[in-house]
Amino acid sequence: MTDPEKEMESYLSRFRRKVPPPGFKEQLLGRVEERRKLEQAITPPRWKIAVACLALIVIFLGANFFINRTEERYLSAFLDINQATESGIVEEALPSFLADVPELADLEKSPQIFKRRIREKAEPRKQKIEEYLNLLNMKEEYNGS
Amino acid sequence: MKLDELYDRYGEKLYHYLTVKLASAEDAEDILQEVFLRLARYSIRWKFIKNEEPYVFRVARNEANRFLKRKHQNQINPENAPALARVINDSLVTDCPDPSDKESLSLALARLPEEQREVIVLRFFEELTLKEIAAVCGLSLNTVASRYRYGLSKLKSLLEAKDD
Repeated sequence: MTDPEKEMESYLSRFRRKVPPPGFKEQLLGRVEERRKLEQAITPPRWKIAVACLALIVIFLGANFFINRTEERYLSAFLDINQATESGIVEEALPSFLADVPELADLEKSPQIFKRRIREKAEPRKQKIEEYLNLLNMKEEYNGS
Repeated sequence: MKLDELYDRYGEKLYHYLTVKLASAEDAEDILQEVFLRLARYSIRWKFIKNEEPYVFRVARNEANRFLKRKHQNQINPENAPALARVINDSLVTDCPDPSDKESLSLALARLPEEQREVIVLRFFEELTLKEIAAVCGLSLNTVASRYRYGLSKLKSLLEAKDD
């Protein structure tokens, strides 16, 4: 440290900051405390906000699932389409299929062959439903709903 | 830490620092209130803070800068040096028999560039080390040391010029 710096430091050490007026501390802390109380009254605790958000998310997911299921059922009923389960399709289509191909009745009764043939028949129906649902989704997105 | 305890440790220093930085005792009081409110909100962080004093000063500095930004006044205008000098003069006491000494110092401090004045005020009146000042201002120790040296030298020349 150079001499002029030391000289300045000793000069500056003769000055001190002034103490705030009496009652300043109490006044300041009183106002801070008031504002804190007001803030706490206005702002709910964070855990309450987190629980509320979580509850809203659960409600939204539940509602979404319920709406989708109901919509699917409604559409199936509306379009007169049964749920395309494999066993259902086999039971439904077996008599007509056997009537179409009587010569294969004995030879090709294997369930695998039936299932494959019938799945091929049912595929366009499934696609039709999917396309309709996709179209519905596109429409909803386009409308912004 | 309780606010009461916090005030006893740093309240007066912060008030003086803010008074000089904002060039107004009234604004300093308002901002000090904001600072304590912020410190009360951050109370959960206290156990993670190693150096309390620089942290508290940094909170105050940020709050003051936000206030100045709101007022579109990032630095004290050099033309307002006499007004700032009056505020500094009111915020200091001295043992010197001659009251003009304090006035001269206040005017010289007011004429210093803001960044040099801040370092000198923090070093002499708020009794922070250069390392702590570096933490408060978010600067390197070398930068703070050079601002301190240049500040002292400029202050000396301003005081001498006044004497002449």
